Amino acid sequence: MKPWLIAFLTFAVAIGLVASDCKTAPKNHIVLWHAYRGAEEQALLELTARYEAQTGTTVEVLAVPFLAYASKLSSAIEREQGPDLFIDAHERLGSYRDDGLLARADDAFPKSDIPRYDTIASAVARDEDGTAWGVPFALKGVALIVNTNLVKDVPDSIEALVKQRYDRIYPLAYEAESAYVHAPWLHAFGGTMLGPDDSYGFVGEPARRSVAFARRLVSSGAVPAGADGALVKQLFESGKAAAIIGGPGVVSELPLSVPYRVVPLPPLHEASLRPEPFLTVELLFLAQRSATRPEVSAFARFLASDDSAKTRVRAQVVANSSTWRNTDAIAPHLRAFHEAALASRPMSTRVAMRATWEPVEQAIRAVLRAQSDDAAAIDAALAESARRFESAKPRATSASPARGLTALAATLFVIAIIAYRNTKPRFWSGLRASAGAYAYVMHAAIAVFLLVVLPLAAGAVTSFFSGSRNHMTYAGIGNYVDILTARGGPLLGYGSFYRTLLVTVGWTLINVACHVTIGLCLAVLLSRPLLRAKGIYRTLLIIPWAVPSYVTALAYKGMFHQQFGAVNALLRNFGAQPVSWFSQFSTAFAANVATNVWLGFPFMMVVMLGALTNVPKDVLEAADIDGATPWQRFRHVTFPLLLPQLAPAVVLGAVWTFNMFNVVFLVSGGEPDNQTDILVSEAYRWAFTRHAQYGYAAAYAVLIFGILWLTSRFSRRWQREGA
Amino acid sequence: MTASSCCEVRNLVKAFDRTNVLSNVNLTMLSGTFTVLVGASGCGKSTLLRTVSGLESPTSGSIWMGGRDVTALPPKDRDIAMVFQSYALYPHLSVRENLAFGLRLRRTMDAEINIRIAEASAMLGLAELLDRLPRQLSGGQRQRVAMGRAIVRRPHMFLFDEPLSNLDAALRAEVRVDIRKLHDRMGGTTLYVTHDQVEAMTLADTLCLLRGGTIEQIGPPLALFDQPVSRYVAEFLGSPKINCLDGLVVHSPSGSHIAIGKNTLAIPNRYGQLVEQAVTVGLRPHHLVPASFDAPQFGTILVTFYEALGFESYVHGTLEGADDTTVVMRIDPGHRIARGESLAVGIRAEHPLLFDPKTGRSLDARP
Ligand SMILES: Nc1ncnc2c1ncn2[C@@H]1O[C@H](COP(=O)(O)OP(=O)(O)O)[C@@H](O)[C@H]1O
Ligand SMILES: [Mg+2]
Repeated sequence: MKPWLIAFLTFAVAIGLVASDCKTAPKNHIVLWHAYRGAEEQALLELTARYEAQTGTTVEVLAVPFLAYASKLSSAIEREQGPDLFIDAHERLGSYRDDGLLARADDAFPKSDIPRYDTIASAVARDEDGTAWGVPFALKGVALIVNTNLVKDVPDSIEALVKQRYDRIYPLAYEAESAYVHAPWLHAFGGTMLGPDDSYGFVGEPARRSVAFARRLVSSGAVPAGADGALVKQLFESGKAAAIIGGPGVVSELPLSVPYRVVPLPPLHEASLRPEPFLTVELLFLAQRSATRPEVSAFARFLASDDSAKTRVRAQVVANSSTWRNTDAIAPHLRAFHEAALASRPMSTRVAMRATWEPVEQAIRAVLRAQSDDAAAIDAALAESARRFESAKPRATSASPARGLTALAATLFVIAIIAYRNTKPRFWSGLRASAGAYAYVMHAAIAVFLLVVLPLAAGAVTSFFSGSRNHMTYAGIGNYVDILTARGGPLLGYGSFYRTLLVTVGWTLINVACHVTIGLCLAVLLSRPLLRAKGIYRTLLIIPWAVPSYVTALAYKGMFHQQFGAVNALLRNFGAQPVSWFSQFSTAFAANVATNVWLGFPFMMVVMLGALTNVPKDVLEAADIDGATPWQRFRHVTFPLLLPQLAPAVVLGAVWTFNMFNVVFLVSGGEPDNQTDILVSEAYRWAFTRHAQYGYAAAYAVLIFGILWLTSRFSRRWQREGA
Repeated sequence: MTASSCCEVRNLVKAFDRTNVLSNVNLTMLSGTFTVLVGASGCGKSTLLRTVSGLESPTSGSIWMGGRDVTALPPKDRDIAMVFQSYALYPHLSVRENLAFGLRLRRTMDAEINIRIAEASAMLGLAELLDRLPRQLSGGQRQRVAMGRAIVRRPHMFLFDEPLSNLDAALRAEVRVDIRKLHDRMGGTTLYVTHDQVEAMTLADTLCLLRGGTIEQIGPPLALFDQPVSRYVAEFLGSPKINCLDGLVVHSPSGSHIAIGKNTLAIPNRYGQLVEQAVTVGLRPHHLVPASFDAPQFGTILVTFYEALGFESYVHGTLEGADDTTVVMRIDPGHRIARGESLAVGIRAEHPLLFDPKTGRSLDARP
């Protein structure tokens, strides 16, 4: 048999095995997915074991990391490989159902069971027609956690709480710039994040009053500015915050030394409504293939039963109302969280809800960080955020097939020309002559095709569709037109493609320049023959490269924190004013650059160290004899001899930096107002925070690809001419 | 230091990692002279040259140039030019830029640079190569560019470190002559390192033979050849190598002679004080000739090998009656000699070289 045939058959058999492996779903075997950890996971496993023992059903429990949960779930279920039953937040119900991932849960959650659960929980598990799509399981929300050493009696309003004065202790700490934790204020003033008919809710009097209220909390010094969840928790644990807003997760990890009490959020004195936090109800969902499997419904009923709830309530706020009527020993803080949950507002299940976070947080940040607190500034921030919400909406692009076909034909034509120009005269006969050799690399070629070419093509095809994930329509080159005309706005307006491109190019140039300069200097220092302990320095200097970039990025984000960051602490030591790093473009950009320079210089250093060993020693000595100073010797001899190896490294470094998502996303996160976003992070936002417009994001990706491809071609030509 | 001395090395010691590579070297180079450093490989020639150039700094001792102590000065302040064994051309610069490099660094005017490049390239035949890169040149061409780079600078002193060792034999002989001519024309002082005795003999005004980091002998080349201070010097210079035979000085009424096995060699009477002493007799290949009236037979050689070079021939053989010591003799090309033949040899030398067999020092008692 021919070798390529063997290779191909092996490959096919392997694919077949992998595929068939996942198809088998034996009777009485149930796969359950969850994202729990710690005590919650323990309780779930205990119940599962009990159920297996009682019924002889086998249950496979899989803990999937929270961040990957939704995407793993939908792709697995679509391939019939996912769970039969899974636990997830009720906000996802809408999109899961629309995507056809779910089976009805009427068996597991019959109408007669409605009274068994908290009303708020059973309401979100059913749609308008009364069909059940999940079984109420647990409630997740926030409440006020107070340090009972500092707060003896919980005041009857937030205002009274923050009026308490302590020595270097915050009366209240919460994630002031998070829309999720800000929501209670908005609700108290009568607002909503998402208005009727998916309209933007963060407008008008309620929004204005809520941000003004938050600003007063921060500017009076009662609440730390710009704290994230980790910092809030840390402040509370170290006794530096008398009260915080947080969920059960914070409490379960508190050290024993901190005496605490949990209470529902006290009302706002100046607002007429109660400050309802958002509530997430965790539901048991039945995957669509479980529709015909009564044993899955039975298992779901078991897990959600009042009996099981007695086990689960050790670790979570169960949705079973009878459990709470019991006077059994339940942890007081869970009782308090349950009480708070009943006074909360379930998160909207609309897909459009996801697009509100970004503009709302922008408005909050803009107000909290503004220099003045006059009403005009607040109005401007709100208007800008509303404009952003509108401009990020999917557009109905008129898709004339003719235009699409023209675009496709043009693309094919360009590709054909390029292919023709790159084809040497004897290309085809050469290909035929070495067919035997190609047979040996067939498996690699197939792998590359499946792993690289196919996704690339799929991405390119996606870019011709517009609309959000579940309602994609063919749009031809509409996305490209939209992007390249800046959606009709000013070409260099905020968030336009060209402005982002400009930022990206500047970002790339500055970073690469710093990488090369620092890398080169260090390489020259390290290659000095007289330097002692060279190996140690070399290892130390390579460490930034060895640490995963997101770890570094998060560390840098912390260091640039206005109040608690190391950088400002250093500045303060020198008597300088602390800088609010992420509130202006220049400083936020500088913070990003600092992080990326830290990450990137070791690569250049290593490349240059290698290149330096290729510079002949006697040529350098000849320059000494010829009368060169050390600097002249470097400038006129060493550097030109490094160039051939420096140039490809620079191109590579430029491409990496151009697409350095991790740093931009994790350090500045695009702040202020997406101004420091680069093209990739902008594309990410279109795909994941703005109505899931995959097609639009894909068009961005194709444009990025095009830009990089053209640049690398030009730089190759430039190198060839230079040599 | 005399007025005409260009460079002087005083009590120079150079150690790498505590092992002395040069120990107590003293050397004076007069202005306009051609000094050659010769010695076996590893004896410290390059190190001495590099110390003079300033690329290495001495462990102790000092270097003087033009009446100044330059020990602490970097190379660029010493007014020297150097030609490296590997040529060390700047790979990224054209021949023209290679030549101009040192001048540009010294801010020479462009017009002046062009004149000097034209002059040097005329001297060395580089005119056609000026716009090429070093990698586009042959070995010989590169070598000429390296010399050109030294010439255009017009330094007081030229340093050469085995500049010919990467060339083939024919080219080497040619360039050797060119170098000497250039030296005479430029009028600079030259310090030249080689391990090749032909280069050393032909180029040098002053020949300095290094051995294990010390100067074994220094002087005009012929003085070293004719009056070596030691067996080492005698063996190092001259090709084929000098024959060294073990002998015993004997005094008899007819005069002094040396007994080499059963053979005897008459010597002048002034060696009389060496009576009964063992000596090593040095006889150069051209001192041995076929026995004749002028050169009465001294012994018999059993021929083991015969080399005919055309203009002369060498006979390798063993001396009978002297523990079959191997000897080499030079004869005129006309003779036809076969292997296994016995050849009666005589000696044509005013005075054989005598060395102490233990120390290797010369026993020559001439005034
Ligand atoms: N940089 C150095 N470090 C240590 N030893 C060296 C160095 N340079 C030369 N040597 C040693 O010094 C001795 C003389 O070297 P060198 O001057 O190059 O000899 P040559 O006469 O062949 O030119 C050698 O034994 C060599 O190994
Ligand atoms: Mg040497």
